[in-house]
Amino acid sequence: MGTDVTTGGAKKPLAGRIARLLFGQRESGLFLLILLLVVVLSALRPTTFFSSENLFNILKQVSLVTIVAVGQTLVMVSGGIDLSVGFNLGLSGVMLAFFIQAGVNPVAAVVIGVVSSVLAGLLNGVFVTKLRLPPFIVTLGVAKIVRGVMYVITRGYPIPVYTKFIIWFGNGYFGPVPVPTVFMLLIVALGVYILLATVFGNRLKAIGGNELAARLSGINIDASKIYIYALTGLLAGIAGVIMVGRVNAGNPNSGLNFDLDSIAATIIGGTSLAGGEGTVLGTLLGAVLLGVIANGLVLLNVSMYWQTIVAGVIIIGVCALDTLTHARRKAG
Amino acid sequence: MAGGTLLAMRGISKAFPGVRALHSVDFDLARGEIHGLIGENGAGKSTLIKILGGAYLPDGGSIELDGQAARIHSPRDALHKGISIIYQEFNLVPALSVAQNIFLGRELVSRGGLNQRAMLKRAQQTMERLGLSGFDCRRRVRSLSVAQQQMVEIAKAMFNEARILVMDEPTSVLSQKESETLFGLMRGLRDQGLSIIFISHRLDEVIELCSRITVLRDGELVSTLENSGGRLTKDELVRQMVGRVLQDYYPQAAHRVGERTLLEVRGLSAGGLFREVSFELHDGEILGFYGLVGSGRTEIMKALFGSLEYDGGEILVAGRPNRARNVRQARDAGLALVPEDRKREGLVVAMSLADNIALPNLDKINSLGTILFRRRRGLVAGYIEELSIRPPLPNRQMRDFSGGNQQKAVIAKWLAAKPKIMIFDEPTRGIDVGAKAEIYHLIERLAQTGVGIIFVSSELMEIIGMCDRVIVVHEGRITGRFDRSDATQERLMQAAAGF
Repeated sequence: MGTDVTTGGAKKPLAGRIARLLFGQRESGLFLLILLLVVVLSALRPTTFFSSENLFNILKQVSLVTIVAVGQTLVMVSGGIDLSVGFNLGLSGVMLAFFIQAGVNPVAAVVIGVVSSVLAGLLNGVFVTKLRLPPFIVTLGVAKIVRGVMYVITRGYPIPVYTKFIIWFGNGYFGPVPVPTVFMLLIVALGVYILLATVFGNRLKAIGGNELAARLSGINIDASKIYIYALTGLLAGIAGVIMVGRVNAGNPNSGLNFDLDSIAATIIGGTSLAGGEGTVLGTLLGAVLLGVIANGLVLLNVSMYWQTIVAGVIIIGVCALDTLTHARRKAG
Repeated sequence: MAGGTLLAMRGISKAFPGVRALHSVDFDLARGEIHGLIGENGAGKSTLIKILGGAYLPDGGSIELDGQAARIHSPRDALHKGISIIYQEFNLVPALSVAQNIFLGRELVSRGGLNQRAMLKRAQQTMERLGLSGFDCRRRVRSLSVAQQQMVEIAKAMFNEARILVMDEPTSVLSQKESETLFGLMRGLRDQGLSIIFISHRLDEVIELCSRITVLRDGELVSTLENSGGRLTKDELVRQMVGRVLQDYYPQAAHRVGERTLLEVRGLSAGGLFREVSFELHDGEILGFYGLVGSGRTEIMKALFGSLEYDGGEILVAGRPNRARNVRQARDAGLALVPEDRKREGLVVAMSLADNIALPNLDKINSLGTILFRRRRGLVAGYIEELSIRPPLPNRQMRDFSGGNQQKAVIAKWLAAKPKIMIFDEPTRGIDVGAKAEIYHLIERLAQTGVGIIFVSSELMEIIGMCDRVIVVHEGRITGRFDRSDATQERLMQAAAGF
């Protein structure tokens, strides 16, 4: 029936097709960039950089931000944004630590921690849909509220956690693979599946692409939006539990910068700020790219402060490259 | 008075992905003439105008201004060369005053501050030149009527020392009286030596105003006709625009209006939008809704489809009261609406053709929330074939299809929902003649299968050519009901004007 024909013509020269395959898609371009960095860093620091220990370490480092960024990607595909993810992550950890300290069963405490983050996400969704406020404003406000709640609970001090089971989340291993990395890969797979193969993912893309057309197609916009913010809260909550395991404490400041870092990974990954377009795989690659650079700079003995500058340059550089190639495609 | 060629466009061509918008079109404009530019939607009028205005660069052809070869490479450049275009959507800043709008980007400055007084004075003088001496240029544009905003646009053009003024459908939003004022003004400007290109669907106006008329069809020049003393007739122009006799254009009506009442609307009212609207729709019937833009017909359809709240009256679908609060409920009751503005309301252009067709039908092609791609392929392929959507590539992004094929995609997504009542709101706006005829035939086929059809349009010809009955709406009220046999152009137009 010819239903699976792609837009690429069969008559185009092979080299051109390969080039388009490699650089036409954001994911393949990012993948090549990461590969290039790995090769260069391996040449510069053959023993310290190119060891399985270090490579797994990078994947562990990027796990948390990637888990949060999967939720961020889905929100941004639907045309929204979630600035509260970092504090929701913190809230989950603080609640978890608080209830363990109070003597509650650790499994129950994990559930309470994650649910509290989901509730914060629900609050985002309800305010966005029922008060008809822009997500930027709503999630900024909720972020502040959540932050305040954390300080009220902890008085600003971290609550230590010694439970083995919780520490396993942050520091355990499956063979050579860190537990956070396993969680990350599962959640990335879930995100890919949602966006590519589910009704929910399709609706998110439609809402982000053209909300009015989506509504006039019979899609329940409010319900979809509430679900998506709740899901983002859920993922931030899971990341919060892992974070507690890593630092052995529920710290009200542990989620700082996760909001902007998750947005950075998402944008580098090719998700449109305007909504409607984006992939979870791209987000993973965006996060890994930033992780490889951070790790490489440390091994090259470059000051930590430089990492931040490089990250900024990368965000602007990758996106500018994309805009330029798109502009050329339109003109051509 | 008229004399000499001011603008000569030669062999202008322009293509977009998948569409050939203009093919080797010639266009001449003399000094001090009003030149009509007509053609069906999608004939290439706006592309030609956008090339003249510097918004598009032509792929081929040349432009001469005053006998000199000219390249118009940006809208700013066009303005600089004395070409002003007044689009249907005005380029005014609503929050600023009339004077501030006229001086936007070239504000008068004195000692570091804006010289508001001087700007106001000169704006006032410009308005006086247009015969609007009492006009207060301190008023904010937001508070002006559409007709007044149009005057401000013209004043802006005059202030830019325009030699060529292009007016794109200026009367479509004006009342009869406002149109006449505008025509008087246009004649005055012409007599001062200004050249005006007048684009309109209202052929009477074109014949009345223009000394020459250029007809485009499917991106090609059909002819440039002399019209001294208004000697051309409407029939002649229509024949040139459509390119064939109208009988072949519309399908032979072979459908039969049934006995069953699919839809009954009683006394439907919504605020200031429409009042006391009542009608019935039978199975296999094509019911026309004719009215000018802004008459309330689109709002009535939205209310039927659950996307606009109404505050009075009732809607019965197949004899049962139906108060659809949202589109989902309306869809589940068997209604479908192909909306007026396909890009804004009908499609998600960043998604694929298949995604768009599937969108209202996701409930039918999933299992526990996972899309069944095989079933989706089957569904989509069937409608691509039935509507002959070109190119037949389900994974191609919607934005890469031509207007006509985009419109077919909107129709496809609603056909796939298997509606019993299908509303088409301006289904042929902005698409080429071939696609139009296909859509007419499709609607006829649907009626033959017993679907009840509401056909909303502001093009008289297609209303008369397609519909069993016609309801005319004026300012939110039904002002006329006609059977096919007595639905003449004059009667429909009179009813639409509120007489």
